[in-house]
Amino acid sequence: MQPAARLGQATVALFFNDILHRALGSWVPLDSWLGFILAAGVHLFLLINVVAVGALIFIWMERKIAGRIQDRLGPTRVGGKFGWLQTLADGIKLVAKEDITPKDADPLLFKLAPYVSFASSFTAYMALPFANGWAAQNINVGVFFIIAVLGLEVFGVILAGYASGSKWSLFGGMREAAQVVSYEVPIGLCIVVPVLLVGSMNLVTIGESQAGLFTNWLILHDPFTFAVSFVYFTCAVASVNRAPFDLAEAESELVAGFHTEYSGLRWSFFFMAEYGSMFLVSGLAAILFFGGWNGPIPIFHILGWAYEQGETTWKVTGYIAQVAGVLNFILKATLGVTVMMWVRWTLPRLRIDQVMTTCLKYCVPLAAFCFVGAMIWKLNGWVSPHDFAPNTLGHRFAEVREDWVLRREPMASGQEPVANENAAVLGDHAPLSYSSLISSSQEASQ
Amino acid sequence: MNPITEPVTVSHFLAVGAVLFVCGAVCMATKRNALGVLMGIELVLNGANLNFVAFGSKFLRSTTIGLDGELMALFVIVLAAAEAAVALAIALNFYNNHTTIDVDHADELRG
Amino acid sequence: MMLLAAINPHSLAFLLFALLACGFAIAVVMTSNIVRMAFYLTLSLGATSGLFFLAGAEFVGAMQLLIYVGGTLVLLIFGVMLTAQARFISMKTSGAEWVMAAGVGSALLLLLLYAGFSVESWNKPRADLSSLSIFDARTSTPIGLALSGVRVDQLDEPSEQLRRGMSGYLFPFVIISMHLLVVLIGAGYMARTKRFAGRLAVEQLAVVAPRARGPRSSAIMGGIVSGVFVNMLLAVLCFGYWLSAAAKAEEQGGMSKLLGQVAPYLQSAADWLCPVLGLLFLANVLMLLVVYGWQKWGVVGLVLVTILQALAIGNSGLHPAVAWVFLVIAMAPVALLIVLLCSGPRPTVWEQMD
Repeated sequence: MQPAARLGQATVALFFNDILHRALGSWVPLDSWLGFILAAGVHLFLLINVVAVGALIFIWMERKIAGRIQDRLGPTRVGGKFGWLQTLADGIKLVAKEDITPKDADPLLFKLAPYVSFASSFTAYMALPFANGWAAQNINVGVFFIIAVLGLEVFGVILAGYASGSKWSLFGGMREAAQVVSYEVPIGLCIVVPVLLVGSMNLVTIGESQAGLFTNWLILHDPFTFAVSFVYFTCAVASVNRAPFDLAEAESELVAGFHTEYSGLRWSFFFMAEYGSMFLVSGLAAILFFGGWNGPIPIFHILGWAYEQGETTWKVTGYIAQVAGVLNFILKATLGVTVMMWVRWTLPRLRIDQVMTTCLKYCVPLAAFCFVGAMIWKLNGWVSPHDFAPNTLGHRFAEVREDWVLRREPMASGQEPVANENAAVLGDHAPLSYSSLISSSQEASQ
Repeated sequence: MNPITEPVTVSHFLAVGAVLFVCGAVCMATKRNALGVLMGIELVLNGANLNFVAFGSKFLRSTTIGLDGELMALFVIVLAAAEAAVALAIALNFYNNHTTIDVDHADELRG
Repeated sequence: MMLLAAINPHSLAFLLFALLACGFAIAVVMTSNIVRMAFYLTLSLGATSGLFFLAGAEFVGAMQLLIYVGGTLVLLIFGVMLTAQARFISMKTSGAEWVMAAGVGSALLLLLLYAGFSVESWNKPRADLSSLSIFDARTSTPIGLALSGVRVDQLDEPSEQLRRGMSGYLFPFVIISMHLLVVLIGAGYMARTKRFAGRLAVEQLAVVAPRARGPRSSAIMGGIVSGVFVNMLLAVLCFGYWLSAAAKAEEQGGMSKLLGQVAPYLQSAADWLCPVLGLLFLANVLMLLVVYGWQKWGVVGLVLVTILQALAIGNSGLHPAVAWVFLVIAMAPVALLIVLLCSGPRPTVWEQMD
C-alpha cells in the first residue's frame, strides 16, 4: 500500500506508519494505530497553533484597529513601537490571576463551561481545509459538520450563564442562546447555495471547483450568490456574537454578560473560543465564496508547480504550492476577521428585538430568495463568469439532473459526465430510456 | 470477542443501543421532573437510532439494509425534535398553571 | 508489544465513544440535579454522534449534532431554566421505586444483550474489512437522491418489478415537512406568553421524604398476612398436585390418600388447570404485597386475579357450578379486605394509598 496512494485521505497517518514500519519492522503493521495517533498529534499541534497564535495576533489587531478608528493609537509600549507583545503580557497576567468561583455557582458546570465553548470551536477546525487536501479530517459532509459543531458553542455560553449564579450572567446567556440558535437558520440557507452550485458538501471539492482565475470564485457565479455571501457574513457575525450583535457581552448593559464571573484563564478560554470562531467562519466564507486557498491568478499552475488532478507522487514544488495556498487562505480569513473588527467599532449595538427582527424578517427571506434565484440560474445554465476561464484542475460541477432516472440512455460522447466522487457513488450506470422502460413492461405483461 | 483487537460487529452497536434504551426507560419511569422524563425519551430514541444505523452500516456486515437504516434514523431524529418541542410546550403550560414541574402533582383528573 | 500491533484503531475509538455514551447515559439516570442531567445528556448524545461517524453514517452523525444536540437539547435547557423553581432544585424518587426500576431495567438490559449477541450474522465482523476504508463512506448523495425519490443504491436490484417499485423516500419526506410545519405552529401557539391573573407565589418545595402514612388497623394487617399464607399454601398444593399427577405413571405413593379423595373430582379437568391456578395464587401473593406497599392497584389486582381463576376453572372442563362456587368463596376475603380498607377513621387507609 503506497503511503501517497490516497492523497488527502489519512496521508499523514499512513506516512508515519510507513516510517515506523521501516524502522521497527513487523512490530508495527501498515495500518497500526500508532501512525494515526502521531498524525492526530501533528494536526492537533498545528491547529492549536493556528487558534492560539491567531488569537494572540487578532487581539492585538483588534486593539490597534479600535484605537485607530477611535482616533487614538492603541498599545504602543510592550514589545517596541507597535506593542506587538501586548497580548502576551495580557496572557501572562491572566494566567497569574486568582481563580475565583462565586459562592452561588454550580462548581462542576462553572468550571466546565469555558472548555465546552472552546472544544466546540476547536472541533470545527478539524474539518477545515487549509490547502488542497490539507484538512485534519477531510469529512465528506464537511460544511454540514462545521455548522453543526459551531452550534454547540452555545452550550458553553448557556452553562456559563446559568452556573455563574448571577442574574446578569443568566440574562446574557439566554440572549446569546436565542440569538445563535435563531441565526443557524439563515446560515444554513446561505451555506446551501455554494453546496448547490458545486454539488458536494466536501470543502476540499468546493475549493477545487474554484481553482484557476478569480472569475471561478463562487461569489462571482451569479448575482444571487453575490448577495448570499453578504447575508452569510452578516449571519456569521451574529452567530459568533460580534458587534453589532454582541448583546451577550454588552459591556454597557450587562456588566459583561455571560462571562461576568469569569476571570483569569477561564475568561481567556472564552476569548480564544470567540476569536477561533471568528477565524473559522471567515475561513469558511473564504472557501465557500472567495476561492479558498486559490489565489486570484493561478501562478503555481502556470509555473507547473501545483499538483494536477489525480497526481499523487510527492514533489517539493507541489509542497511549496500547497504552503502558498495555506498562506492565501490565512490571508483571506484574516481579511474577514479584520472586516468584523472594523464593523464592530463602527456600528452601534442592536437590541435583542432588533437582532431577532433582522434574522427572521430580513436574513431568512433574503437567503431563501437568493437560494431560489441561484437554483434557477444553475438549472437553466445561464452565463456566468465561471465559464470564462477553465478550472485548472479539470474539476466539473456535479450535475445530477432532475430527470436522471428517466433519461437513462447510453452515454453519448457529447454528454456531460457526472463529476468525480459522485461517479464513484453512482457507478457507471448507463442511463436507460423511458421508452425502454415502457417497452419492457409491455413485454412482461404479454 | 475482544473489543479492542478485533473489528467491531453489529452486536457491539446493539449493546450500546440497549444500554441507552434501558437508561432512557428507567429515566422515564423514575424521574419526577417532567423534563427528566423528556430526557429519558430522547435517550430511548437514540438507542433505537444506533440500532438502525448499525444495521445499515456496510462496514459492519456484508449484507446490510443499506441506506434504509440511515434514512430511518434521519426521520427518527427529525420527529424526535418535533416531539420534544411539543412536549416542552406542554410542560411549560403545566408549569405556568401549577407552579411546579413535578409530575406527581399532575393528578387532578384522577378518579 | 504484540498488543501494539494488534490494537485496531477503529475498535479503540468505538470503545471510547461507547463508554462515553453509556457512562453519561447512566449519569443522566443517577443524578438528581436537572441542569446536570441536561449537560450529561448533551455529552451522551455527542458521543452517540461519534458512534454514527464510526459506523460510516456521516450524514446522520452530522444531523444528530445539528438537530439533536444543537437544537433539541438547547430547547430542553431553556425549558429547564424556565421551570427551575429554586437554585438547583432536585426532586428525589423514593428508594422503593429505584429498586423496582433497577430490577425491571436490568432484566430488560439482559434480554436485549442476549438477543443482540445471539444472532449469527450480527455476531461476526465483516470478513473483507481490509478492502474498505471508513474514510470512503460517502452516503450524502445517495441519501439526498433517495429523499427525492430515486433509490440509487438499489439500481443493481435484479428484479425489474422491484426496481420500478422502489419509490424512494419522497413521500415520507413531504409528510414530515408538513408535520414540522404543524408542530412549529402548534408549539409556538401553545407556548406563547399568557397573562395569569393572581399568579401564585413560587413555592419552595422541600426535598421530598416518603409520606408518613397512618397506621393500619390490626384487622387489615392480619388480613394481609393471613391472605399471604393461605395463598402460598394453596399454590403449593396446586403445584404439588400437578407434579404428582404428572408422575402418575411412575408412582402412586406419597400423598395418595389426599389424591384419592380429590382425584375423582378433578378427573375431567384439563391438564393446564393446576399450574395455572398455582401461578394465579402466587400472583395473589404478589398483589397482597403490593397492597402492603400502599398501592391501590394491588386491590384491583386481587379482584382481577380471582376473576381470572374463576374463568380458568370454568373453561377447564369441570362443571360450571364449581367455578361459581369458587368465585364466591374466593371473593369473600377480598371484599372483606376492601371494606376494612375503606372503613376506619378519616383519612382511611384507602385514601392514603396511591
